[in-house]
Amino acid sequence: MNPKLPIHCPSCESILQVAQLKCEHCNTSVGGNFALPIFLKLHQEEQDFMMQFFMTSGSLKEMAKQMGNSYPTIRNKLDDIIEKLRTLKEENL
Amino acid sequence: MLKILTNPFSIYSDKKLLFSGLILFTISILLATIFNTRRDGILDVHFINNINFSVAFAEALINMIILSLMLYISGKIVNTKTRFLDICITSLISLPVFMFLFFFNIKNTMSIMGNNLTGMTLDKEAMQLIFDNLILILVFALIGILILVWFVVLAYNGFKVATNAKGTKSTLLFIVSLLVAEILSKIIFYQISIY
Repeated sequence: MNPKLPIHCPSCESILQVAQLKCEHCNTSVGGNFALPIFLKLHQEEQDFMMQFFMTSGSLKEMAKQMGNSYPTIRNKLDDIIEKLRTLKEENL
Repeated sequence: MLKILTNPFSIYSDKKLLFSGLILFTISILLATIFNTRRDGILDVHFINNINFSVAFAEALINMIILSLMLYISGKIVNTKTRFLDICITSLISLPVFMFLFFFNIKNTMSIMGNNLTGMTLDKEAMQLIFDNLILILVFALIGILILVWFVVLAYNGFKVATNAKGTKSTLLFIVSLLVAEILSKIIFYQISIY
């Protein structure tokens, strides 16, 4: 099982921060308060979409074929993610 | 299944949709010719005694072009990335749903009834004719409403997918473009007096 990275607080639904990082080789832990990279703030489904976008060299037609959706549906999804990334970027500034 | 009937635009590729739309468009013209049905407006279905293929084709084409143009203008206001092809597909898939009403004119049933009603001068005679065909008229009215709702749902979903429409503004623009398309098509058919 590949556990899903939680990005939202289960209590108040705010975006979580990274508090600890650990080296699997020597067990060294680094503690602090780090913001999640902007792409990790997207939902898993949106991250998968972005990954597929890269893997198809940005061809929406190819993505539509692979995902079994129409071209405008894929383009709309991409537009929505771009809009979300813009908002997240503005929030980060 | 329900999604295929109400929103095929989000499932199938544009090539498949365009091909299906052109087939449906052609079938609707053939049925209009066989069952003597006029489509002299985006939302109109009228039964007459005789119609030829070229007139049925011209009417279907005019309706398709006007609806596509109106939806495209609204689409461009909602989202500048809107493609004319997606809007054309919306018109090609949604407009032919009215063809299910054409079957009501098998053996010119509806057009003969219409002619008889027009020729009558006495209200009593006309009322009698309506009572004699009450079930047929009621079934036609009910299916007519269902088909109209189906058309609007299909056209709206196609518009939504083509434009990534969200919110009240885009819904209002869709309604306005549908109404303007109906008015414009009536004016054009009146001006050219096609039949």
